[in-house]
Amino acid sequence: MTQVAEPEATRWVGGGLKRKEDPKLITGQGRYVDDITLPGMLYLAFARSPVAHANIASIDTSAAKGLPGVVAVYTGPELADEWAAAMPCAWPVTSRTYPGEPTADARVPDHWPVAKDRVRYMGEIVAVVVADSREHAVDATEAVDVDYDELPVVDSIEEAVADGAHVIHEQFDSNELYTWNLRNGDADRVFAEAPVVVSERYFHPRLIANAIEPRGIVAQPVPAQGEFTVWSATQIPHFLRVFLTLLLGIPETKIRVIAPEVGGGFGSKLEIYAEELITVALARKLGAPTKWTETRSEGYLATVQGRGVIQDMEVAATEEGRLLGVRVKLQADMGAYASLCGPGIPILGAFHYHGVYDCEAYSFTCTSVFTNRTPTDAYRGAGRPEATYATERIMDALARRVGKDPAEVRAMNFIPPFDQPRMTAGTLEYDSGNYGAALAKAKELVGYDALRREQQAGDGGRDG
Amino acid sequence: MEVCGWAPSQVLGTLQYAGGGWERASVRCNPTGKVTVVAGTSPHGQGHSTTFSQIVADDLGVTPDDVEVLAGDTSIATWGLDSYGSRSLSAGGVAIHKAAERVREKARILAAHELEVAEEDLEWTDGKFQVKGAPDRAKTVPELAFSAWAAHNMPEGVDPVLEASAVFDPPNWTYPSGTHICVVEIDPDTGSTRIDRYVAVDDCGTIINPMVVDGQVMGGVAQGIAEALYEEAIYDENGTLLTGNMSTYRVPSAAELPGYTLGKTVTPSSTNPMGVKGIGETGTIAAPPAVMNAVADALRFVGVEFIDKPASAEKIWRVVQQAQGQAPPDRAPEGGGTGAASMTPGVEGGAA
Repeated sequence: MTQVAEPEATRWVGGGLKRKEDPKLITGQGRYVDDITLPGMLYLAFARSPVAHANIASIDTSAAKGLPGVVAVYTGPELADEWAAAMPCAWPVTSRTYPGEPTADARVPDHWPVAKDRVRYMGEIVAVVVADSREHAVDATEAVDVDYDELPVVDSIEEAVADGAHVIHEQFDSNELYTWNLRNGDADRVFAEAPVVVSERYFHPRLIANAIEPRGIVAQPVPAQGEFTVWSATQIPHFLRVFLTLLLGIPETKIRVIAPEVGGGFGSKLEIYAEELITVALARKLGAPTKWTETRSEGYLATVQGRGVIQDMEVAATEEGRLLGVRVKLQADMGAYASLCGPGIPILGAFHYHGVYDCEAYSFTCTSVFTNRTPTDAYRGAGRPEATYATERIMDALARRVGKDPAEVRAMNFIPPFDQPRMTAGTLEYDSGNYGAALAKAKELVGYDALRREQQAGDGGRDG
Repeated sequence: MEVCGWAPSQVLGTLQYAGGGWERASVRCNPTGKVTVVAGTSPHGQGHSTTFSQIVADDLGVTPDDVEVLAGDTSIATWGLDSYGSRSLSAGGVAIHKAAERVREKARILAAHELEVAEEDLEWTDGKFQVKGAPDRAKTVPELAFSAWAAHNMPEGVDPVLEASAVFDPPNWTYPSGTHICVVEIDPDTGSTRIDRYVAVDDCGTIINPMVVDGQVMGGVAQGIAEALYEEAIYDENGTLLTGNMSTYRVPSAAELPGYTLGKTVTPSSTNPMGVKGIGETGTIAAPPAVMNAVADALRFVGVEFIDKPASAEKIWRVVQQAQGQAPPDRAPEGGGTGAASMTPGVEGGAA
């Protein structure tokens, strides 16, 4: 192992060691899910909806079944008996004012691995092909003939909450999953009395995680024992095992889940996916090893996306720029179903829209909605980047309003240095912090004061 | 600032999350002195083997090369809650540290027994147990691992083999913080943004491996710059994904990304005995506002009141044209708004 920074005596913590795991990864000796091939393995491919919202009028799989190498083709109704339960939402957030009791039931619509009678986003699986090769399986998906009766599409957050909007899940009276509030102090009074109020609206487009390794899964059954070994490109092998039991009815003690080398996730592999459930279910049904590897464009449609949030962000402050209150209203796009953690993602940011700054009143509200788009879930940071973005952009807007340098406005509002838990306006207990030290160091490293002087001099803008 | 560490279990329950936030690990000293760590976290590129090996190397007086980390297999790591939310070190790494300390405490009992001294007469120095005042009388953990395996001479009431497990359910989240400053220069004729300087000063508490920390920051900042300037999944009114592949969904390459100047401050966390906070998400949290504030600051000089993510060349060009009363209106952005403009460079701080 190459040692870059010499550790003191026997101390290794704090030393810059090159990564132990890299030699095999950079010499092609890492084994990923797609590198696994087993005797008698069958390959899966999925026919996916090309439309965002439709009833499935009919599916004809006969032509696909007749193609070379095709072992079986299944529709949603044909696999209905495989599922002990619908796909999971592990974070079924309900309407409430935290930490008060819920004021409504959780809205988690049934989400089946293969659509039974209706599709609610482009890319939802409508049929599964099993074949003797990946190529045969993919070819046969194109011969699956589906008639769609299209329905009105809820194409945005605004559309989801509009009067008279089409309701995507009819068992609910609207497209809203929940409205979740957090209050601390009298924000309405603080905003009414504050000499300065700054409001901006920020939109966070949906993002696609683009892990270098796409998703993939291999399932190897031992039919005589009812046992399964499952390799998945997942961040959460332990959760996958629990949910394979809950959703497929296989005892937990009969399932071994392995996440071999996994080439990035960024939250997109923090999910229990339809493709994982189907691959294991068909290994059970057919008594043979099964495999599926995602293509990049398939992942764009069917791997959970991140963000998809509208923020109405407001701060109240003194004329000098001292923060008095933070008030934020979110609208969050969950996509067509409640994903594993999707409803909870905006709540991860709920408690700290005031960031590293002190204030006396805090108000947060989030309304999450269904749309006819791919479900959203965690994406690197998950709710917290959205919060910090709003906090830091509005601090700049506040600085402009009060005519001060943004670094100065930040410094005057920092929570002072602390090394033991400290309660904040957002009702968290921050563990420790010294925000001024980092700001001072960053300003020094970038040459902040000189840059500002150059900028003000307006010398044509080289090096800002 | 971010909330990290994904715990404590009881608080997660009040938030209606179905799972817990604890993490579990075991540390096993094999007969020949090599150490196996079994972690309940599940790596997917972070460098856990390296980081966790460094922790255990210090705890047991071995080198990181003596330590193998096993993870990501439910039959090997029988308990675990996996990796997300920057929890692998602040929950999982601390569990490993606790387990290693238990191994060392058992080793201390064995050392005292073999050296025929009281435990209080031993000191843990230079990675071994030494008799106070007689440093040449000492036992290393690998030596003790062999005798615990042979088990020929175990102290009364002490079981063979040197192994321990530990669970850590953090009593609080951790709160990494920092300041990122981005300097951009914008070409008003094309709308393209060049990042001239990017400074990131992060505070993730105690640092185990500064190279791994730097790697996490650089990768995260790259993703955050992508979010600020390039990436956007766009759907049309029919719910059709228009950015359905990499030719339309614009992932920047190294050519579009700047070099980074990285700095650190260290404010140990009060949440765990190691003082660690987590570094996995700081880049994607801090970079989007740092870059967008810089872009907005530059555009302010030409009269643009507001611009939202992503500040693509096309969008910047449009808002500049619009400010000059020339351009056709932009495609109505979902939820967003744009302002009016004219032009120069910008600098801005995003304290994250």
